[in-house]
Amino acid sequence: MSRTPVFRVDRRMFLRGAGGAVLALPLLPSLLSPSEAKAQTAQRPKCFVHFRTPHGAIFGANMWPADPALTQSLFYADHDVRRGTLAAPVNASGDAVISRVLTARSTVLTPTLVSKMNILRGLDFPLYMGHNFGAALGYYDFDKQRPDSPRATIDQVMAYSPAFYPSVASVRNRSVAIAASGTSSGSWGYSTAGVRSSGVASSSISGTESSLALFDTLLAGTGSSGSSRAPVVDKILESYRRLRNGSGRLSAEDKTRLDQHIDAVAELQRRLGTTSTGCQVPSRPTTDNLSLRNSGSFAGDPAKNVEYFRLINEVLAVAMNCGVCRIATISIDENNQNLTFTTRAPQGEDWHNNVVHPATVAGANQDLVVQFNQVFFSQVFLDLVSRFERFSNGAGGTLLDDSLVAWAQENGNTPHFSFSVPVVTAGSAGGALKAGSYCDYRNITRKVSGDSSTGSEGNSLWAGLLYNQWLGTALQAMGIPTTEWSEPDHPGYGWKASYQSGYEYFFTNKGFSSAQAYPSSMWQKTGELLPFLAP
Amino acid sequence: MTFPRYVSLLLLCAGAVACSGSAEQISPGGDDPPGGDDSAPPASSVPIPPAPAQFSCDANAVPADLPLPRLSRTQLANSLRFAIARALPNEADAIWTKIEPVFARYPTDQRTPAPGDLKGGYSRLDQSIQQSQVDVMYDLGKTVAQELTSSDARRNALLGSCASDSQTGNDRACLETFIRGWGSRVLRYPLPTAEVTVFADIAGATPVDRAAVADVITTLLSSPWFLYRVEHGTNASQSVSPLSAFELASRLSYQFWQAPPDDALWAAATNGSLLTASGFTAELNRMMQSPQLRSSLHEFVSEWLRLEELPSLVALRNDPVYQAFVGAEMPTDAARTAMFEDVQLSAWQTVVSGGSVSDFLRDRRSYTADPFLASIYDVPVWNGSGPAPVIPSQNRGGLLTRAALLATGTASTRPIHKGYLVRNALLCQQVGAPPPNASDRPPKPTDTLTTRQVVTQLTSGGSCGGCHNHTINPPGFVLEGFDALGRERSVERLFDPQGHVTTAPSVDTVAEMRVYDAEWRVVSNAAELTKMLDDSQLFESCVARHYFRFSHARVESTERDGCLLSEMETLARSGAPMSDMLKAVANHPTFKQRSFQ
Repeated sequence: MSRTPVFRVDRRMFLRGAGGAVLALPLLPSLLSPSEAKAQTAQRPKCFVHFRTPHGAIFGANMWPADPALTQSLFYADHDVRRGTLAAPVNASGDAVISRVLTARSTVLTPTLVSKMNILRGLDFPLYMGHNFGAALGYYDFDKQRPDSPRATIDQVMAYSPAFYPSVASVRNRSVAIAASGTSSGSWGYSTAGVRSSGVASSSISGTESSLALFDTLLAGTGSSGSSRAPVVDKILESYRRLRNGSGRLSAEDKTRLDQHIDAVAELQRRLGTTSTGCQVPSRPTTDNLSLRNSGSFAGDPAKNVEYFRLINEVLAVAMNCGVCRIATISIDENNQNLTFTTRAPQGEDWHNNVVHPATVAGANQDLVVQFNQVFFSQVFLDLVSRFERFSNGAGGTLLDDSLVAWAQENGNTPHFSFSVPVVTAGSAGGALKAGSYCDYRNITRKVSGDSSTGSEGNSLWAGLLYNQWLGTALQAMGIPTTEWSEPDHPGYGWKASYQSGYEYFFTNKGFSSAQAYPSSMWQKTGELLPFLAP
Repeated sequence: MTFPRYVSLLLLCAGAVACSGSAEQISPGGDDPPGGDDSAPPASSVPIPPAPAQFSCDANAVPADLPLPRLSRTQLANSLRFAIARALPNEADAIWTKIEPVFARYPTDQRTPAPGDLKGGYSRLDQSIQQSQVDVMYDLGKTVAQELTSSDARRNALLGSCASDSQTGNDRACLETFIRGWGSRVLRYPLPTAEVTVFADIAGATPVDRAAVADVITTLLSSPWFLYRVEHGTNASQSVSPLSAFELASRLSYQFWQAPPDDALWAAATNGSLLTASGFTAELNRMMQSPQLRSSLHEFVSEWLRLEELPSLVALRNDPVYQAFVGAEMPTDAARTAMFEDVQLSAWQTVVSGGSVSDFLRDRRSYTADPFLASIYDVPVWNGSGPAPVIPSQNRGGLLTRAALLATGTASTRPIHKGYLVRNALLCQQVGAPPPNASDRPPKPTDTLTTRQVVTQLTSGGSCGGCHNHTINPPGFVLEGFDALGRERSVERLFDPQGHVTTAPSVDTVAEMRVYDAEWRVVSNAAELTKMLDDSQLFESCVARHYFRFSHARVESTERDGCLLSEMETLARSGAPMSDMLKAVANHPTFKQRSFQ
């Protein structure tokens, strides 16, 4: 596997490869001065990182442990939900195995790490969506179109919450969205950042793809040019205010847009004024993940595909440990990123059309989908998780303990279907969540109708709990008051959507309705932590 | 007979969900031609009468104006290049090369089609204001400023000898002169003295110090007058105000050239001639005849037809079926690019030659220097000068049969995709969303069934037939006379998985097609289909609608924008030069005014 050196090694930081994972430790806890460690202890900031992978379409049997792993049952909302202790027994090959997809080297997926994870089954987008970019974070986009009732995604709710960032003095960016050019980041803010009443912006947050650009944004020093002159951002701000408040005629909408821009310049000004005291910033990387991606042999080379994300993880982990940014979303798109974590290159829509859709029956295509996700889990998701785990939080725990790292998917276990969208988490958000569980929220008395296009997996679809509740759980775990996100028509987060009439047959074919599958009693629970996750 | 797995799957599921066809010009669903099954549609030789006009004018309606328009990414790039070139013309390209990596971080405008559409969706319509835009623009401003002032020589070239002479007493005036000159052009309006002073003050006590000048430039390039088109109008008492000459100049130049006003347009604004009818017309005509028009025209055509959706032609180069289908010479990425350019150049040549919208639809010339594409069209390559070669086959009916609209990157055609393109992008007819169980895998022929047969099996049953049988599929079936590289064909070669031809049945290009309302025809080839679209004049109306969206950076309101839309539609339908329709946008009274309602 390629090991591209990123950060230049110096006395205080080093890069090393170990086993199946690269463990970059630019800032070892032991290297912190006592005062630095004390400062970290006092603040105990939380971090939120969210990965979204395309399609889903992983058979239940490949994504989840077998049913005997579920040892507890609880009546919740309108049905029994189940739980078991998460376990990853090590097989003869030295792999720790939760399921086919959730498999990694036992040196990476250690019992300690397993005890800090949750895997959540049976969370449903409460409407038919087809393809989407934003749903996993709360923007329920129907086939990548603007929803009837859009919501800012939870990462952006967090990013502008004073509860999440009581102080932004050392925060370079409130959040970063990682996405390929041409791919929606799936992260949506308000028209005026942080102002709910201004409505949801017309476009998703622009993504960053380059790991080097990410480094420059989050970690590169300011004022390093040797110039003694102060940044002119205040002059830029003045120029907008001069226009906004000047004598030239403007419409009310003109002024609203100027206000939005002024807010953004003010945020830039704030960012440029931040100092990252207490944090040693590593040398600028020598390699950019974009140059890796643009190399001719990138597509179809799983090792390079992984390295592409490791270069991002490396920056994110350091930045989050430094506290210069504590929210990141990563949207993965096999097309624009030209990767599949397998030896089969995406070839435009070929992966979508000729691998994922035919993967609805067992065989080579389902195996490719499993491989995509297994490699992603073991070498991208766990890579970041492991990096977090290696930073001390100064209070006897790790950065991971104070964080919530989540992986969600575009669809459930069949393409285009919104049932049982998998969620895998690591970290307990500072103890706000209980970890170490395999939770199954499906209502096994509410089997829904796949149809023949779902192949054999169409027999494995059930309605479960609302995905809204997971999103609300994440918000609560990060300490965001419900007043900042609860809804008038239900106590939780997000649009109270309902199934479109054209897709009601999923339910009626089985003798009940979508309203019965997602009853009011279930919506009334959306303001609670998901079952089994309360500490 | 054995169908592919997904064929039988979809046949089973097709009745599960209503295939809710709906269109602006055709009624939803319906399976049958008017009069029932017994009344066969007339042949295509019976001309389709023009459809009713799609737009009407309410003289009392006041169109909305886009508030504080933000430059698109393309426009911003052109504006930065303009700023650099005006500062250091001899080094502009070299400096831009250094700027490009920073500019690459500027967010891409997102394209969202109008509700109900899958085609179109123009990057200009993305008017969102994003933190990352502001952040990157600041970096861009700094980078440009640092480049322009990276040496004393460059600084001196910017400011003149007053910056390098031994005098310091003239330094402030030296900087102010630069701001008044370069700054005004970059910000696109003559900076009043007060503004010049404000910007000059940024330099502080050392006005011609390189770092100080850089700060001034950074601020100018991040200011609202650079990133937005600021329009105050000239009459503060009316809800609708005429634009100033400089505001009008910017509207014109960004509309048609995607760039700031050039010297001539600036001069016309400065001397006031732009505000006269003759002066305005002269400038408009000059812009329409300039090669710089291609920037906006190409963007319009590409985004309207979503040309970038043409898949790679080389991705399946190792697939034996694709290899066998393609033959001896594998296409290259250059061929794909040439296919785009062929469509773009057709539009350009139509405009500059005085051709009409109908001429664009029917244009049978080839505009390619790429040998592979030229061979598809059976013409010699075209070097860009002189008359482009005419495609000899009479079956090539113009736009519909350009390779960019036919190629799929695979060995099989996509009749559903092509049919949808005709309905949605070319006729502006909306078709309902497919049911959830609809496969979006391109239907593939088997070693015994043609593409048409497979598609028919897939879509004719149950309620899916309501949309597919007479709305979506027929235009696609008519275009089956061309293969998945755009080559004309009379038979469809069917392959086994090893790439061996199993059989080669004749292609069936005959279809019954409802154009609008009760107007049905039997169509048998692409040329007839093209004529039918043209006769219906729905294509012309559709072009007018799409160009309105592109030019105004918003989706139309048929009530409030009806007057201009109606005018554009009338021109498009009349056979007037296509350039007249483009110019109608600028000639309409609303172009020269700003609504503050």
